[in-house]
Amino acid sequence: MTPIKKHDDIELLLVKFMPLLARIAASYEFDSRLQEDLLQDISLAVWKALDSFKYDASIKTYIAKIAHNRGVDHALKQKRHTQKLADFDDNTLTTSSSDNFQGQSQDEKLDLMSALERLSLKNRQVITMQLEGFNYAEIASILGTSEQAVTKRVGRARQALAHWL
Amino acid sequence: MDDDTKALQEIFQKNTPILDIKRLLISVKKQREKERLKAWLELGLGLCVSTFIVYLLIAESYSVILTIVLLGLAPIPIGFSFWAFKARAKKSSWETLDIEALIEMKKQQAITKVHYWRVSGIVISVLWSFLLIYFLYSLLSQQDHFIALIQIIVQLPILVLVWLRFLYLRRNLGKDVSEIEQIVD
Repeated sequence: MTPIKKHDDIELLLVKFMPLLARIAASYEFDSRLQEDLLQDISLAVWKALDSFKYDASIKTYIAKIAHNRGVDHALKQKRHTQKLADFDDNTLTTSSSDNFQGQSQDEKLDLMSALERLSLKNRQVITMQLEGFNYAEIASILGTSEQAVTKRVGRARQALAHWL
Repeated sequence: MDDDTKALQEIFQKNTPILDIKRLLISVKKQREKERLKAWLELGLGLCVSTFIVYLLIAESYSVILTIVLLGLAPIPIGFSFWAFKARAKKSSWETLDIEALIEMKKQQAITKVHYWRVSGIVISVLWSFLLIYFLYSLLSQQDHFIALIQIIVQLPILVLVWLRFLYLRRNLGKDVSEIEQIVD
């Protein structure tokens, strides 16, 4: 098939997948103002990439891959920015390498979004993809890793969520 | 899919941020047009500068040294603009990488950035040296050297800033690469 060229088609696809893109943006950025900027950035990247989409993969997986890439890029920039500020604050925990079990009593329960925010980035990625309905093979394809690794990460993420929810 | 996952999925979907899709599409379109325009403008500007140098070479060059200077200068602006244009186009193909590949690419990009600033430093140093040679030549042959002198003074801070940027990036390269590696670890 030929790549999607018509702007109208791309616009329709963007409209269709915008809620998915917004949720992905929200999983990388918790500040609503920055979230909007990130969503715009992701949408722009998706638009450009759809110009050369050749139907060799599921369009949803293709779009999610682009969105997650932008999310990682954003997380990296935010991490650098936070480190420049030098002060250790709560935001640092959102990209930390392990799930943060501290600062919460056993009885205190969180809502799903707050719990997701507490997850390490790599565990948050797999769980949000699972909650979007992607199977392990698709998640592995987006991450560039094996299904086994995805299974492990999902297990860890679910364990942490069970603890918090 | 188990019931727990289904229940979480439902809550997750319900938490979709409120969207003004129409407004977002308009700003994405504007941004896209702006980026395309900027890319073509940069390319056009490079072409104009190179063309102007060729014009000087044909119409104004009255000495061997000036001819050599202009011959050396002519391909640089268009070459640099074309390289930047291609690099911009290549960037959109990175968007479709998987995340592991993206991390690898980011590490490579950090290394390339240092290389880019070193090359920029060298190119600007060469251009500045050409200007200096031209100025000295004009001065010694008692020709008008005022414009060349102004150019040398104006370009000097740029030259210094480019080299300082290179030194800063080179010093932080190790830290930058390790930050990239840690982002999804």
